[in-house]
Amino acid sequence: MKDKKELYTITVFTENHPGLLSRIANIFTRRKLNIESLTVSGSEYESIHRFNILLKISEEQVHKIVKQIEKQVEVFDAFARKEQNTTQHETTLFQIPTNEMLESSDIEALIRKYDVRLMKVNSDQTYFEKSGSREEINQMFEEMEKLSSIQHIRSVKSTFIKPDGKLANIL
Amino acid sequence: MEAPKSGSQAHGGTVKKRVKGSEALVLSLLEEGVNQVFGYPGGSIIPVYDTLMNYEKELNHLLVRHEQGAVHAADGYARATGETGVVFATSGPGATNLVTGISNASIDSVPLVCITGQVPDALLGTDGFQEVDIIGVSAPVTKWNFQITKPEEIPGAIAKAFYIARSGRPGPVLLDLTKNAQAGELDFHYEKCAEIRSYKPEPEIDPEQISKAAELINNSQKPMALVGHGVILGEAEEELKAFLDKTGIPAGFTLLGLSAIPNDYPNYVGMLGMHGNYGPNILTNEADLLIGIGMRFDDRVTGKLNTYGEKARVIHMDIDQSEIDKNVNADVPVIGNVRKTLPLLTEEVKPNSFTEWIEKFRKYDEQEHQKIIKRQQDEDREHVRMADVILQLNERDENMLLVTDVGQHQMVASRYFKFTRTRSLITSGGLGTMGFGVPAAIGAQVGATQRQVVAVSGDGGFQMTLQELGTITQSNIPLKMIILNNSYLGMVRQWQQLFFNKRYSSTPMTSPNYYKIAEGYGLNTNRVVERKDLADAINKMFETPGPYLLEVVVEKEDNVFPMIPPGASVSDIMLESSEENESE
Repeated sequence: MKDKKELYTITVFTENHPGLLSRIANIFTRRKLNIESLTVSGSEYESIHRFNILLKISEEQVHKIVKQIEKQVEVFDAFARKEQNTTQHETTLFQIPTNEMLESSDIEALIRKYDVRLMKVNSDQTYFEKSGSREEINQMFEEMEKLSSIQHIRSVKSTFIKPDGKLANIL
Repeated sequence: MEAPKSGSQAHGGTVKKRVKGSEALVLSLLEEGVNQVFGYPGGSIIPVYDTLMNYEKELNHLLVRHEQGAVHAADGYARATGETGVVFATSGPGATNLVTGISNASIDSVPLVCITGQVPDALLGTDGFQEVDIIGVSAPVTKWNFQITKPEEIPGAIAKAFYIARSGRPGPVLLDLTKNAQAGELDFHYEKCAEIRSYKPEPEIDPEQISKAAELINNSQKPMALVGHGVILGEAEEELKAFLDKTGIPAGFTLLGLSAIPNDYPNYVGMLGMHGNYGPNILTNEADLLIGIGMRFDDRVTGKLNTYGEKARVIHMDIDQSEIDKNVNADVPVIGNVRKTLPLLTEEVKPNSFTEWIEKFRKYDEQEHQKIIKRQQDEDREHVRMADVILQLNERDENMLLVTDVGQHQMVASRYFKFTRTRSLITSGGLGTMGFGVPAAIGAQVGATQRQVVAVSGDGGFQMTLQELGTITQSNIPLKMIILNNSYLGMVRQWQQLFFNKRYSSTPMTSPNYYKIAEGYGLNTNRVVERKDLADAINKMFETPGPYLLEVVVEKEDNVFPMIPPGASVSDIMLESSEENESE
């Protein structure tokens, strides 16, 4: 079952080097791997950046990919975790036209059901934030899209992973 | 201006000197021990070339005719000397012309530092004249690259570039130097790079891996070593010999591993792979243990993967962790520089000999000799075959360094040349870059001044970079060049014959009159058509001082055998084509 594709999160700790994003992206595109989600941010370690890459990939391939990423000069460490082995927590921002909001009590009911936080309202759009599991957010959007013309942005965060390689040595 | 000597007071950062960026570049190269660069000037790198005139004694610049020639020359120089090759090119087309050569160096793990000029900082991203995003273009084929936009970044970036190119698994790096960084000033002081915190070029050796590998070796009845370029890159030739001497294990060599030990070494059993020798390919599938030493199980070596080494367990020794389990799963990986891991392993293995097992290789050698080698050498013919030429070369200079282009002649040269010392074959392995031969040989000859370099090319590959004859003439490089002209793109034609019903689509090729070409460039030259004239012509080539171009007209439709058909298993290696078989 080594070639069965599953969701993995690859976490990469790097120097902040221009061009590294494209080098890492190249490793995926060269092998025709489609990234589901990618976030690049600072990390809990000073001056060290964190990439979180979510994709569907086989176990065999994910090991190869991680080694190719680790081979980059500015990469400290890379790890892959199966999605079920991480606590995925996702944040989404979305907007709904304010007039649709006002006209539909069903939308309001959904907002309550999913414990969505209201961020901002103006005459055109109303802005919300929702945090939760990927499944919960998917479910919410599925229901919401039936009722309104929703637009959204999503981010993915995985759990903290303790580095155990090169990064651990310099910290 | 008086130029400071290499390793001057500037070293260690004790003395600072106010200089322009272009001079800082040259001083940095001198600090790294560089005395030879290969390049071609242009608008965005004029300040560097201007500075070069002040340092002509310390830093020799070889002017090529095309940037591809520069990067292949630097590649040949690096492989011949073990030093890092250095390339200069201008922005835009100058930079993109390097890409093939950088890719070639990357896949063959050759240390290069390529320095490209770039438009001034202010023009970046504006589609300025001769502006190309060479950082983006070169990222997939460089080990590291960096754009320098401020003069004060130059010494640090150069130090890092050399450290990265040379250390661990070597590879090409590229520095893109904007024109304003060349023209601006800085306080120059230089410190060599000894560490990069995110980069561990030589992983720590795990003693447990060594012990496990030793155990597998000690329990093996039919072990076989597969030796690659890593042994030459790691300068581990003596360590390899010690390992082979103690264990008695037969060793096959990849194309790039050839010459690491002499062909007449007792454990040497030939070349691996698609056009390698019969025995080592067939017996890969009979061996009970394969020991990859500084090699990467390239598809040209393994053939069909799921039947490769089907009875064998695998020890994979490599400096690059990402090679482990990439193509062939290793039962025991031994990660590290083979120069360090081999002696540790040698210490733990028991002395042994595998006389009967090696005898099997020799029996297959005999079959290969009868079916192929003897036939190649039959006396009763007028025409020359490629093998005739290589066998003639064997009778000349033991110190010779052979550089090939890519194709049939490359395989024939690798198969028939008798290697007696290390770094005696320079060839494009992973990328198979036609046009590599002559420019790489130029670099090799510039680096290996005490050796006679001979470039063997086919008529196709030679025509891809023949403009470099101008370089040879201008700089009087005493290189001997042989074109094996079969009026075809021979290797493609061979595939068309064997696998595409002899439909010779676009492979017949007309050559220019090479005699006149050579004359036009002021080179000594000759042409051989009949076999009886070959020996004298080769003698004359070696006796004539300076560069020489010899065209040898060879049989048009000769094939290289043995051959593992594409997609087939190593043990399905063919000694002849089925039609030759039928005609018997």
